Amino acid sequence: MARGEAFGFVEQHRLNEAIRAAEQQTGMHFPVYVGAVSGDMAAFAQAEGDRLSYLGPEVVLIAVDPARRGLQIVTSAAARRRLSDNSCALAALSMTTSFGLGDLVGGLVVGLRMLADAVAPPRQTYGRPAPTSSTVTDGV
Amino acid sequence: MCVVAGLAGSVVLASPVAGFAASVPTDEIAPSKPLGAVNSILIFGVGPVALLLILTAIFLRPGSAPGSQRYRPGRGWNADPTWIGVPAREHHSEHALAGADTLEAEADEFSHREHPPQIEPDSSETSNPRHGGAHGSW
Repeated sequence: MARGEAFGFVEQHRLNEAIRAAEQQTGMHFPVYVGAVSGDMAAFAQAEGDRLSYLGPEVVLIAVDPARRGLQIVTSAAARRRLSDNSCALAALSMTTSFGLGDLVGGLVVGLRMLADAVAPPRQTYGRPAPTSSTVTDGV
Repeated sequence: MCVVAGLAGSVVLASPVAGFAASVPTDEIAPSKPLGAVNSILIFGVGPVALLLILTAIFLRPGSAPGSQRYRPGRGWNADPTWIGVPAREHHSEHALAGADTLEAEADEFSHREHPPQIEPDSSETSNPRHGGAHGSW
């Protein structure tokens, strides 16, 4: 395979649309890296996740190394409160299944959708705590 | 009687057409010339062939055809590293590009593995506790 762009125009558009939809749905950021990774993939993904923290506090990084057949999903500390590791594992399973069939773009699109669907809504804070009990008065 | 009425009706209906035809100068209506051999070849031969070649080039270009997949498990991956969903000026990473060439040989080693995907959440003690996520292989 000759060195060149990883994805064509249509594939790039599909990925961009999937990322945009996930970000609009959750308010989180979903950067995706596809390419060779030297060294430990987890360390690479965590370092890149820290580097991309300027995007926002909630970042979910997806790193794929097709040559090593490796996938790494890293959630930032803030994103981890809304997206559990088990949900990431489920999305990773779906993605790797598609990758194994040779469908990189389809796996990423489905994985992004699954991750976005698994994100819990942000916690709402109230200025006044809700009452914990109510008084019932017999009106007889 | 019916014949006379029919003729009269025909004259009434045809009179506008006749009037329009009479208003057009006869010298503007030139008889069409036969198409020459060169023009025929250009229009009916070269044109369709060129269109066919253009469409073929568009659809056979790597990565552009619908449903095409450049990645084939077992054949490695030599494409340039790509960031998606990140501003363009932030694409560079010292970790990613360093071992791109050296990993080509390593890719051959990985390319022949046959095992089910392995997925593990990253909630173990070995990972950074501030981060979460999961990793897998195929």
